[in-house]
Amino acid sequence: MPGCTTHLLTKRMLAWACGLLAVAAALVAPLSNSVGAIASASAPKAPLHATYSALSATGPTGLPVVAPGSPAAATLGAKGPTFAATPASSNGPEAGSIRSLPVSTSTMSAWIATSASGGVCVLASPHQPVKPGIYGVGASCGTAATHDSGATLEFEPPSGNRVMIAGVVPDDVSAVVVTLTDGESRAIPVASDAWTLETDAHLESTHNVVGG
Amino acid sequence: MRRTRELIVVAAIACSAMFAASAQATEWAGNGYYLASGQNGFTNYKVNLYWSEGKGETRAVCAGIRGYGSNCVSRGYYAAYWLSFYVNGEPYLHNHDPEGGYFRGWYR
Repeated sequence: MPGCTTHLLTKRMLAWACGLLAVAAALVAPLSNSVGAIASASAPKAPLHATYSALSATGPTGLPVVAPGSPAAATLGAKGPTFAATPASSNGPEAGSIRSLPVSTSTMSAWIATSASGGVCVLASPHQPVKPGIYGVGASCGTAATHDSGATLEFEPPSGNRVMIAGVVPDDVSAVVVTLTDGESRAIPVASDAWTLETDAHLESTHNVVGG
Repeated sequence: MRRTRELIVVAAIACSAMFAASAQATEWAGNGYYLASGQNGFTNYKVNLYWSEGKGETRAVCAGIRGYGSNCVSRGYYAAYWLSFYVNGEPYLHNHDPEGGYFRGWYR
């Protein structure tokens, strides 16, 4: 009988621990949703029309997914950029969708990904660390409403004077006409849904050229 | 038996705290946070963070970590900037738009 009592007590304790975890989860859920306008990953996604073949690419991404503060982050993060795994409530890039992009500049790497709210993201990281052993990664993520327009980001590392620009566009776009703040316009060819530019001026606007 | 129960409670609370810490984004700018064109907005206090994110209400925005770089995006897009490590720093936003407007900002 003492064994039965012990068994019952263990069951009760386990139930108690599970109850505590459930209460904690219930408390955390509203906190996670407190980011408000950042769409939840569980929200229904609108049907998408434009296609991005680059999202189907295979091969290593060169952007390992790590948990910030973990030993892996310390090891891999000192060598190059990483992707910080984020909760599903963020509108950041979805880790499993990240694919490497070909870039025409030798000073940065770029990636494409889907966003948690049904849009597309472009990610970029300068090869030069922001501080010794620390690499920064930037992302521009749209929603389902901007999915067909692609995404563009402008990156200005604190130690550099050059502005780095990267963008992704749907498969049917052959070039992007870029207008800079110095008044210059350039047509940048698109390769595998990607285009990049390194310049002294900031980005004013872009225009997608469809077809070839 | 009491000791076992105490250990279970401590483990449950520790797990809950870890889960809460990893899941939560802190919104530091929002609810009428206005920036003029070209203006920066800082927390004005340092936090431990690895991720900075921002969104303009129909305004172009830059999100970054002061001293560690930033990233700018067009109207309608979310800007995110992250590092591999936690650093003690300031998340910030920059109004990258020719017009003033309202912004939201988060860090992790």
